[in-house]
Amino acid sequence: MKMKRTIGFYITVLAAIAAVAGLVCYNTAQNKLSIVTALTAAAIVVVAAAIILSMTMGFKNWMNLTAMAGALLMAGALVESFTTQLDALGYLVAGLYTLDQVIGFLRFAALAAVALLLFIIASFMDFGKMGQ
Amino acid sequence: MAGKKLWRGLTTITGCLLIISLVATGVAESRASFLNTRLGTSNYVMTGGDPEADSTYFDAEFASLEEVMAAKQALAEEIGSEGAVLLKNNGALPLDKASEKVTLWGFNSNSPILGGMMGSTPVAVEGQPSFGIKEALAEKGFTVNEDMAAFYADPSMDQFRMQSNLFGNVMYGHALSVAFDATYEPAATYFVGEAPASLYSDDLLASADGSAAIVVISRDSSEAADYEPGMTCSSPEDSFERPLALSTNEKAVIEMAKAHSTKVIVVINANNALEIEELKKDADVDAILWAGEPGLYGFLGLANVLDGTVAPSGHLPDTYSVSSLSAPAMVNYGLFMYENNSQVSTDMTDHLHYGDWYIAETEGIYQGYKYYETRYEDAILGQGSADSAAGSSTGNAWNYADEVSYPFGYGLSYTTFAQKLDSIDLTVGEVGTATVTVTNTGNVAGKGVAQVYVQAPYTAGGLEKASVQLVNFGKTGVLQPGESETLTIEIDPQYFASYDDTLVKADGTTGAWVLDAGDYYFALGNGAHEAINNILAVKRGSADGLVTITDDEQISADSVSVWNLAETDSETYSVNVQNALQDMELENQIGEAVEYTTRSDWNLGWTPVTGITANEMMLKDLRNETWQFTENGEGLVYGADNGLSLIDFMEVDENGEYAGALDINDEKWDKLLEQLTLDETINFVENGGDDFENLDTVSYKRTFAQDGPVGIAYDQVAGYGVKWNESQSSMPTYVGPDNPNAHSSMAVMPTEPIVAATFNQELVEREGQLFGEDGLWANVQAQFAPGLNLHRTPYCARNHEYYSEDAMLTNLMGTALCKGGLSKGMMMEPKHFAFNHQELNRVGLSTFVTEQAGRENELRAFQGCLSGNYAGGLMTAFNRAGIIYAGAHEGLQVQILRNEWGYDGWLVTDMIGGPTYQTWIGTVFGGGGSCLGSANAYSNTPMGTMESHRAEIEKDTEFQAKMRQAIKYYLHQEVESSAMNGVTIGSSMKYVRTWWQNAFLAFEICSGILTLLCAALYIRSLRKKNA
Repeated sequence: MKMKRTIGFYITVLAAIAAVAGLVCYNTAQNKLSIVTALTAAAIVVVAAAIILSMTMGFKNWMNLTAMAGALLMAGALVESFTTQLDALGYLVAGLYTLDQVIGFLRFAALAAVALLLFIIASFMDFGKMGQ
Repeated sequence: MAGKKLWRGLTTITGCLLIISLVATGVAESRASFLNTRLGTSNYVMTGGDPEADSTYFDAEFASLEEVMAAKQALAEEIGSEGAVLLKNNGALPLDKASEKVTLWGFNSNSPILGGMMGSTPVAVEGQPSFGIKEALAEKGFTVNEDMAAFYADPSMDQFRMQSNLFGNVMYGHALSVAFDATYEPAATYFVGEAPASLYSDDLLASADGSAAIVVISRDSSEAADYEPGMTCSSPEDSFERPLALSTNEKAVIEMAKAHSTKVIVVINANNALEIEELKKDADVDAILWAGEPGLYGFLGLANVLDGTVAPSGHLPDTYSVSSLSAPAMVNYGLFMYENNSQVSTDMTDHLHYGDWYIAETEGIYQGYKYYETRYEDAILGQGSADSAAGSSTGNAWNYADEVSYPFGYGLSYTTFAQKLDSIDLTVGEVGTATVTVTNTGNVAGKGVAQVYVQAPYTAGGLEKASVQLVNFGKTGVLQPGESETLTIEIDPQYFASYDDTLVKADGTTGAWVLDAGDYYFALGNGAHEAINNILAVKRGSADGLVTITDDEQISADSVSVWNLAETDSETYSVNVQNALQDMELENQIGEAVEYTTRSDWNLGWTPVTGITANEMMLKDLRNETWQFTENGEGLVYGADNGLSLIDFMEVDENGEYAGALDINDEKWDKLLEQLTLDETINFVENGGDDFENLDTVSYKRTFAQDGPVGIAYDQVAGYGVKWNESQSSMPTYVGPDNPNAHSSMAVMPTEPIVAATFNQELVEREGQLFGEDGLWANVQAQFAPGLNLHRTPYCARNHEYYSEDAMLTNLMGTALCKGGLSKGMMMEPKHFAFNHQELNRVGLSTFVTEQAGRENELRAFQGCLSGNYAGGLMTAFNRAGIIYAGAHEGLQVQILRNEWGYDGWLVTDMIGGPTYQTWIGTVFGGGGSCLGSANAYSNTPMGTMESHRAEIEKDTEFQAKMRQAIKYYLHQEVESSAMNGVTIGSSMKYVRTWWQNAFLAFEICSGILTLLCAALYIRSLRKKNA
């Protein structure tokens, strides 16, 4: 039986799109961490998997955990990304770095924060409903 | 349903908070030292010990912080007085401030340069006094033309005012542009900060009529910046030939001053030697006074000189040449790139290996006055084609009078002095003396400086030798008219020996210090030129034909004494000496001859060294691939329980008084070091430099190391109270947050050139004592000062952080400062070791010098304070020594520093700005110490952190031994420092958690509990639904 898509579904998808955009920006950043890439990718994969499975299997209750999983993974990615950027941010504030040197990370951070927020909002909603 | 969604959402939020708190806690723990400093907390408290014991090993001289600050202000004023150099005076000075009104001319009179824009930056916080020239004159009771002052202060004039944007802040009084990153184009412009004459109204000009004019000519200074000969003037409606020459508007201001004043006094407010020949020759410029960049209080001293309270007694620390481009060093200055640099070739991989640039210092030993005075002698003696046109500023035959305005060491007084070199008492291998009688032959009281120079015997085609070099100097007290004082000045023959890198010694090693047989001419002089003239007069038997360039010069045989060495000595000063810098000679790298400046033919050395292609051998080092781990030995012992702590290494004398540290070669140190863990060792090496806290196993007490040469840097410490925490409130010099001066700046002193210009070693030693006093009151135990690099050219904008162009003036002043600091338990840490002579691409700049020049100039400047072990630490340079990162150069750090000089202090790199270049592996293998970096300086580099190479480190005993040795040097100095204040037998450092660590933990626990609770409620809600 097909899944009926809810508002939560679409917000989750938006969150995943923000995560994808963030990942693209993170690839241009200096001092990257592979764990950040992995956690962000995992959040995207979780959403993609949920979408694909919902299309093949129909709605399952566990799919309502998609946004929660995405949020936890993005939270991990976001906070972990700061660990190698603190010096760079300090240098930016002090004027030793230009914006160019940290813009990749800043864009990632902004998009990851948006993704996290959207995942959190979506976690208050169902991912889908049983179709008729 | 709604409940299920609510709990799911809340579980998500609390789960995210838990994850964030866990990771954030880890980050905070890795930055614990930083956070503790900012928050005034510490993870260590001292426990145990004997509360009745006197644990203050270094006493404060003063009873309060106010007294310290007052003493520093008084000393700074004294340095400002004694360091001001009177270059010209047609009777205009001193001023009678009771009857002579003063007009300050020039926009820079409103905001003069007090110090560097970066590096040696004097800072006054709100409420802390600071004196520009206007404020100083007012303070000393001068009547100043307020109309002109208001004109210069008018905000509508800001477009003409010298200003720079630094870290988002507008800084008036500075115009240089800093560049920290790799630079492929030199700075193109400089903003002089002087307005066109058209802006001056007739009324404004009339306000100056009848007053004495003081025209302020300024050039600023900064770390990470240089002047470039090709700069153009970016000030509105202004122009100059070169940035160190007077601009059109500056000349116009002087003309206006001439037309509207009773006399014109030009004050040079710059640490870079300017082109002022036209001022010297201008009969209508009545006086020239060099003031340097005198810090917050030095202009008070200048005011004392202007009104005659103090007679000037300063002498130039640099040659003032007619053209700032005339020295051979300028031929190879600036931006030179390897042909296969990273911009055009993949050989260098990328610019982050910092291997693209080089400088070939082909002038050899002939830097500064050593060039001008040596070529002068050869021109007089008709040798070496010295009078050829090669290198001549005029294009005609080289003539000293065309090349030099004011020589090194020159300075006038309001009185006159006669000096007689009474005797030279000298034996090779011992420190001898020169006895000089100085007599005040004038009408005004003043201090006189006796400068002792020497000429070593020179053979054409032999070892390159300067015609004259400073060996030492002394300064009298204030002499009344007619009064005399006899000075006994130490003379150390090792400091006028020459280095022969071809001489093979009896032990088979190559390289030796040589004192050639023959006559050594010791001479006095008001500067190097008068000294060489005195020598020439004696050698030639006549003063005929000698060139004088100032009216006051006196040539006298009484100023010369000849000392004869019967046999050449190449052994006495060559113990443990052997070549260590052959890789710094360019020809040894590229396999082709390089043309150097030479006395045998002054036509040589005028060709820039361009078009160098780094070969395969060089590329390996330029890509920083020099070092590899190997498997050797069986590893060192770590974590031993030997029951020792650092306090056990304090020595006491027969009276029970503190007497320094146990000899560094005592085996007991090895037992202490065995207690360290490998983690501690790695952390100390990789993350050391300015805040050391974590050596638990040796009960080490936290220390702080901060910049810089004008006092403990405000931007790093922000006041006396910041480095204290409440657990230390029983310390006699504790400064708590309620102390009104807790945030007062310590960076207040004059910059180094003006300190050098005092030619007063006692004064500089006193400065060191007050730096040490600051350390006691600010809980800072190490200070990155003094800067000891030489002024190779006038164009390095960081010359303000170094004393002089001369090695011995630098050597002696550096030693004095370190002695003073050491007496108060401050670990003085000179910088930058070595060969940092320009800021452009300082990170990674390949610097090529001959070994002779390197040892006789730059390294001699460092030698005094290091070989005497007056300096507790040493900061290495950003540049390469040859093609090896200076902080990893074994020749410098092991052979010369340790084996030859016997230095037992510790080493630290400069800030790790290029971690792919300033590698920890090179630093350790090259005999360095700690890396001055943040916790993650190396975490995302191709090499990675030391932890990521732990397995290799564990198998490389040689590497481990070097790390341990580096820590040993540090701990030894720690025990000799004020860090031991408060520590007694039985003291131990106990680890405690700080409030912020507890806060993080509480947040983790709370978010964990909430997550579990929300998750449980979510699951419960699911079950209810299903039911």
